Amino acid sequence: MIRWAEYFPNVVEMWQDLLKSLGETLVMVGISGALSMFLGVLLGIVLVVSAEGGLYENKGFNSVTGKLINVFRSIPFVILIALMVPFTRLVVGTSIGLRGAILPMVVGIVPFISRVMEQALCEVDKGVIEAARAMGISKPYIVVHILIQESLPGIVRAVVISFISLIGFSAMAGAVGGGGLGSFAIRYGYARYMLDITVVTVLILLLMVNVLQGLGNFIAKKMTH
Amino acid sequence: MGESAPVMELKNLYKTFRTKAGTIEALKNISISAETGDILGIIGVSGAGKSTLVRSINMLERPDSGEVYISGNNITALSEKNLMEIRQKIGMIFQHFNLLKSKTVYENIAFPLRYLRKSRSEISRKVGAMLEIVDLTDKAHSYPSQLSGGQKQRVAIARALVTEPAILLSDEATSALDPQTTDSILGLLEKLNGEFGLTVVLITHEMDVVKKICNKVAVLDRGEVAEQGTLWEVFSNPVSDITKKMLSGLFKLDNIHYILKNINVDEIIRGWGAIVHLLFRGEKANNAYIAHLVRKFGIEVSILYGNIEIIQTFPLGSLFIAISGDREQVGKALDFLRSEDVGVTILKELHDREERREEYF
Repeated sequence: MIRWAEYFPNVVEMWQDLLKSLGETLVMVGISGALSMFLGVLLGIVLVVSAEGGLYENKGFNSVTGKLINVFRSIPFVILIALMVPFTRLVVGTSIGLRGAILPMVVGIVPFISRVMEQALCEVDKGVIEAARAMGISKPYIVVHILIQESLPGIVRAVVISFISLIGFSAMAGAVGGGGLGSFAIRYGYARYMLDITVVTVLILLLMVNVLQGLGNFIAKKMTH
Repeated sequence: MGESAPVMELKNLYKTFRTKAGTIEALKNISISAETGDILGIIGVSGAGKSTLVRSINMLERPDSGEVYISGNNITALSEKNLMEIRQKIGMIFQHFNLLKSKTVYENIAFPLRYLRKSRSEISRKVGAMLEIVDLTDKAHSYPSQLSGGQKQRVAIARALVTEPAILLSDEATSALDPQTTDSILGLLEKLNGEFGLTVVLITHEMDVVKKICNKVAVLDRGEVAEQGTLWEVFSNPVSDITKKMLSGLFKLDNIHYILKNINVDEIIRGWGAIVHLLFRGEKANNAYIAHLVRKFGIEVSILYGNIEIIQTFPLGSLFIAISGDREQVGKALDFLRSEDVGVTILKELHDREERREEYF
């Protein structure tokens, strides 16, 4: 029998706060994840079809979009949060708490997702798309039924990687007032030297990441023929 | 569009690509046509413009100038939307099959029909029929990764033909397959051509493929048609250097070069001589020319190597000989052969030791 109270005194005392923080993290990651997956997949498709030799080739547009993505990708997330404060206030009314955290998380992760999506979609054989064009199939139909469908395993993997990055982002957002596990660990584990809080937080995050990765691998494998 | 219009006709096609390395004239004044039921082979070495040419037939590659007619209709000026309808009537298969990895064999073949929103029963009937034709009924629910190369190409053929196109374009469709599988795919194309009158336009770099199933051939060289005609016309009387070069594999010219390297010329040459390639066309292949040459012109003839190919049911005899003797008599003998409509190509002139010495002095 492990004597939990002896090894993790603060965790045992504050388990309700811990659960609340976990809930906040899940909400942050869930909402910003759903929003940014949608935007990221869209942007990834836009990047691929507008690239040289793509279905809707447009080199100028592709280059501008690519550069814009690079700009946002090169800003460290902690700085991005600070940089976005006025904008976040304007859009959601506050720059702190859960609500304040979600917008910077979306802006921070979308460029990343669009790049991993681009990579996943690039895996689709150009020859298959050409074959579909030769069959007289419309471009939108090719995007949905070939580009996306053929790269689904890659898309699933990209989504998993993005969600895992988002969990990291959520911890950082927590550190600057966003709530969730990150803020919990900073407030107690770091500021008050409650090492057991930090350890347990890390373990929870570890578990989340592993479950997500395992699930993603399983789905991607099921989809690969 | 009258009955007599060729099912496919290319008129004066030009296409130039501009790259950093300079401009590449991929197509130069290409005019080729195919009638219903033709199996037209377009042959050329890599870089000859074959891929660009086949892609301009369904306008995947728009030519800079010239016209493409499909069943008498000029499709060159059509909008993308109208082109899509035309493309549905032109099937295409590729070197690397280009199947959908995430879909079963059945779904791959059904793909164009689903796009056309055909009813479930029609799809099931048509896909079932195609599966039977390509002999893959038992693989209907397999995925492409579980199939061999030949089976993949059969699926691609079924997918290309399930919408009942008038033409099938084949872009190096057998180039990734081993010889045996190549034969079975060519056999399938021949069967489809025979049973359904399918017109096939076949791009290849292998003369053997053309020889096996084509009735017409166009030889492409650096973006131009070097020569074209029926298979018999081109094979029995090759005019351009590129055609002769491409046919050298068929006549096993390699063997001759090997033999020449390994024989003592002086043993087979008396006086002046030459290594000559003779082409006997049709019934000429049966005549006893060699004995006649020896008797009439008093020269010596050594047979080095020979074979007979059957081209479109006609025999085409190829014979490599070393011919020698009095220089004038040899010349007369070759003239005689030419007058008999035998193809004469002098591969190498030879002199025996005597003549070489005379030349030296």
